[in-house]
Amino acid sequence: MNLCLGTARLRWAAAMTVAAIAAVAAGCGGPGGGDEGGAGSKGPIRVGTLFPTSGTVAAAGTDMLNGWRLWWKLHGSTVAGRKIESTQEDTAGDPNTTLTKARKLVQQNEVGITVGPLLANEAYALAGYLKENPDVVGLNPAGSSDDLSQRKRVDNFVRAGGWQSSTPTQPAGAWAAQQGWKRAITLCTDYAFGYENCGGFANTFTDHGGKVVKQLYSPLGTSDYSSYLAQIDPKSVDGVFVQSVGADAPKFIKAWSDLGLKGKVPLITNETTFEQSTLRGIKNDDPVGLESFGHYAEGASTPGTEQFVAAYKKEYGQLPSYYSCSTYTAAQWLSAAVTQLKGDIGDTQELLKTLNGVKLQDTCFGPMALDDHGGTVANVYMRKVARSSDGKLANEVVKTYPNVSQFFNYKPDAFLDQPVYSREYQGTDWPTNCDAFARACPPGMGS
Amino acid sequence: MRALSSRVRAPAAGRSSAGRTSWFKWLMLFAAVVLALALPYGVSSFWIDIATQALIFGLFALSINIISGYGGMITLGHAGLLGVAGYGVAILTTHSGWPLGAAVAAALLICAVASVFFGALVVRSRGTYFVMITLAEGMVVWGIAQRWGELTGGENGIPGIPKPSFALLDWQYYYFVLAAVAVCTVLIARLVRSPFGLSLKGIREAEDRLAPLGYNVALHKLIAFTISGVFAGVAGVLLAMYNNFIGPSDVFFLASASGLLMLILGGIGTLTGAYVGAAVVTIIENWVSSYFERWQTLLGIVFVLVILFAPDGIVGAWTRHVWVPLLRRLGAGDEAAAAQTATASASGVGLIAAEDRAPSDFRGGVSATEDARSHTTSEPTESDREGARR
Repeated sequence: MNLCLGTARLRWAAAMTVAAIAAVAAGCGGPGGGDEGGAGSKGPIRVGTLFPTSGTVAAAGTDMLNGWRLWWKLHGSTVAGRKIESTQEDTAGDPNTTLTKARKLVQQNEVGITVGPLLANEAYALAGYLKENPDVVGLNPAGSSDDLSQRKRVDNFVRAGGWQSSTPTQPAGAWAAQQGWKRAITLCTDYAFGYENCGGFANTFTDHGGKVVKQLYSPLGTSDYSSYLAQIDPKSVDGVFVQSVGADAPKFIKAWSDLGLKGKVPLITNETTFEQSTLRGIKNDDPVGLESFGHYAEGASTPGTEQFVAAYKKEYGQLPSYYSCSTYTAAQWLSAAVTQLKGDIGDTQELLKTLNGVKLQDTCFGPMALDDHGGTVANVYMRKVARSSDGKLANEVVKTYPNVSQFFNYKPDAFLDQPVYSREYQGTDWPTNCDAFARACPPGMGS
Repeated sequence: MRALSSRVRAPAAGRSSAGRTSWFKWLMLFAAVVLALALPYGVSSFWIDIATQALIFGLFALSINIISGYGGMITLGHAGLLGVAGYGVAILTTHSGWPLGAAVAAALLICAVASVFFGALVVRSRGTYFVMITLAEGMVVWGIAQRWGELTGGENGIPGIPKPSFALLDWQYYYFVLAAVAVCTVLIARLVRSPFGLSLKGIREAEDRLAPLGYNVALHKLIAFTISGVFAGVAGVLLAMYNNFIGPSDVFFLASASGLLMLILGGIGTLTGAYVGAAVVTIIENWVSSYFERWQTLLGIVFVLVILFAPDGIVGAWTRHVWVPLLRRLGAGDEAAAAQTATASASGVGLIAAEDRAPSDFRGGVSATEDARSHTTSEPTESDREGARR
């Protein structure tokens, strides 16, 4: 078939001319189509949830959906006279799917509020979308990237029931140094979430005179931790900080016991390593007695947590994970804001102001509020895994750090002048003097 | 070195009795164009988004088609080249503050350079080795995207990539993509029907024969790889602007595999197949998934059914069961036969159902090599086919 024939070329030209004319016509007229969100002051409030119920993080996404649904089931879906209508879309743990689904929810289902997603890259993708669509309000209960409330904040993406990756590990570093650890090794997952977790620990640990002798990184999806743990010489370190997540966590826990490090080398970990969704699948006693720092402890004895855990257990027959708690809290957060506005959420700026001002005293995390930068201020618990009375593994509270800010004891401005924690920047050489501290400058730090 | 393909003539198409059918074909094309142009008037903005995505991924699949479908080189690293251009435009607009037009041009240039480089590493290999090396190349880009945090944002990707100022609304951007994709498709259509395209098919069918005939096979493959990479880059730029975001998952080998699967689903070695496959996958992924939780299972079932019952893809099945009989009825035996062999040879890439085909299915391939002035007279033997594939 030879398209070089003159007649064929003519036909092409004709076809293309028609196409061009049609395109110009389209440009002049333009298909309209209003994208009014379901806000307003009457009728139902339409909310779109973006939880990854398929893909690599499906289990956590399902927990998120469960938590969200549980709140409305327990407290009724009518707030200040307005019905809350939720539509769930599966983001599949993928940023592109997250964007398509967000568009679908806003355009097709006319939602004015989105809740989710889970992974950092999904959250950044959605943040970009929200920035372009300032009339849509996003609640972010799980995307924990530090910068979403630090250097890359998007005003209409509110951490409602969410957290920053490095917030619980900053007290952890200080704690380790205060325990007398002089030399520590960190082992984190080789991506942003891991860098931020390790960065929080390394930064405050070195402030207090500790030395991070080695930083190990395992790729996401590590199935065999022995080659990393083999690099830990029990005689030369005082303790180890570990972050793992998802399917890696049980593998780390097993390796830690199998290699005989448990009980021999002091260990603290981050929120996700001993997360309830990890503990659920472990039948032996490997994790029992191990300690971690996080915002959520299913074994905490505050009324908010106890009530949530009991209701979740009744509904779904298992202990709730932090993912469930986060979306349960997001629902509580939205509920509080809509109540405060007496159901009139037509003014997006007013709604955002109210959402940012919400202060909850009794969430399943404990008290929770946002700082001036939109960062979560919440309790950090030092937790210890124990077997509860019914034989299930759960985190119990050992120590409470009340109302910890994302800036820890630092001055926000000084902190924000530094880059976000990364593989290159772990804050080990910063700060050099007490000027950067708003309070509690560690002993030995110059002035 | 002999001049590239200069001695190859395009085959004279049987157009003698094709007047009516030719008009029929143009009518179909015209209908498709009108449909594509009218789409935003008839559907909600959600469907405009789906269509935009299908066009972008269709172009990506079509770029793979140039080397995999026509050249017989299966690649699993093309998302890497898509990513080079996508990240290029993202970095230049968000970090360096370049205007969008210049950033796009520079990104495509970088993508072309990367394609030459990746192509140079791979053109002397074949079959499984080709697949493995392209896979590795794609993973190199993914590794950079994932790990060079300061440049690429690491796992978090790069948000905030602008759209052209005249194409900010979804329907405007749809037309923008439609125009870009139409231009690229026409260029690719011209390419694969050009003498160069024919020698590419010759490489697919019998690489070993072309070398003794004086063709610089490696150079042909390199040029095809580069052209293909640049079109993947165009898709990457369109995708990055569409999402205002690019991240490592866009570059991961699963994205490459997804492009290849769209191509196989639609019909490898055909121009329309890439778009049909992309449309089916995009609709299942984005629309069916809202109503059916196990949409990935559904996607799997669709793939299995297509491979079992239409090994040359949806377009191949369409051509065999609908198009060819229709052309015959319209009285164009030549055209019908041409269409038949085109799809038959196109599906002979060696990836799927190779054992099921009778040697006569290779007629299209043989004619391609004969067009390339093959002096051989015999039908290709089993060992030839093995050799071509190895």
